[in-house]
Amino acid sequence: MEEEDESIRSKLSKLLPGDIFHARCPNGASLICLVEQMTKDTIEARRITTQDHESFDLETGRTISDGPPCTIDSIAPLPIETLHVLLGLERKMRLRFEKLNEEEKEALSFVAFFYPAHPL
Amino acid sequence: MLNLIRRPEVPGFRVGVPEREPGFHVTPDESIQTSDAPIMPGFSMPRMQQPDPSGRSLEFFSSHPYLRQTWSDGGLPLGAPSNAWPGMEPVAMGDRKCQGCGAGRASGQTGAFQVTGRILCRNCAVKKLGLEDESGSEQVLRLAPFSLDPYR
Repeated sequence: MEEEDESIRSKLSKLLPGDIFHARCPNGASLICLVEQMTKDTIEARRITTQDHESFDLETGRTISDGPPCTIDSIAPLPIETLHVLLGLERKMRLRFEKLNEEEKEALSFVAFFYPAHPL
Repeated sequence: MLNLIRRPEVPGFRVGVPEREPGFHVTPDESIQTSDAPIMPGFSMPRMQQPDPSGRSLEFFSSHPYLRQTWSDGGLPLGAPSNAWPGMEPVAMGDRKCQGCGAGRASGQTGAFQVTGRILCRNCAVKKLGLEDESGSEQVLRLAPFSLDPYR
């Protein structure tokens, strides 16, 4: 168990601000998160779709919350085209929302299969 | 104003009166007691069963199912405050309502998604994101990143 936690920490420590990773909630919610800041014990991130701030425990990869936590399940690097589309989506959701365009729809469908296929 | 009309009594459904079944009678709160616990009219019976000061019998009223207010059916009496159960603490505050449903559309739907800071039901989220023409399975995939984090 300790080795596993160490392994999770070592993997998650590779993340840097600007990276995108994925977490899954117990209710099935998909959290596509953009790293904002890495601290000694936490990953401070932002959901690109809802702009919610999330704090993840670097040891366990779980959200720091009162309820059952969401867990980071993949930090696999996205294809550069998809990465750019998601970064654009993040800006759209933050600054000026319009309906999803075809590229964004395809990107969201892609990550739904990509992250489960590349687990942590 | 409540308009009550006395109806013919139905045999076997009168309360507060000993039944002909030996050893049993029905009390106003619908519990069955044996003859060992006799009814004391005007003393131990519910208020509606007690003699009316005006001289009218309220037996019929108390037997009417729509006029009884009992605690034995698991619900609170009509108009009772929500904290009427002693020692009861509310454990849920209900679902999050959709903030997109309004006049002319279905209202009161449960919000399950968050788009641009608003909590939306599935139908409203589909419209907001422009997913109306997608298949159901595609909608599921593309809505999942907008699902509410339930513990937020």
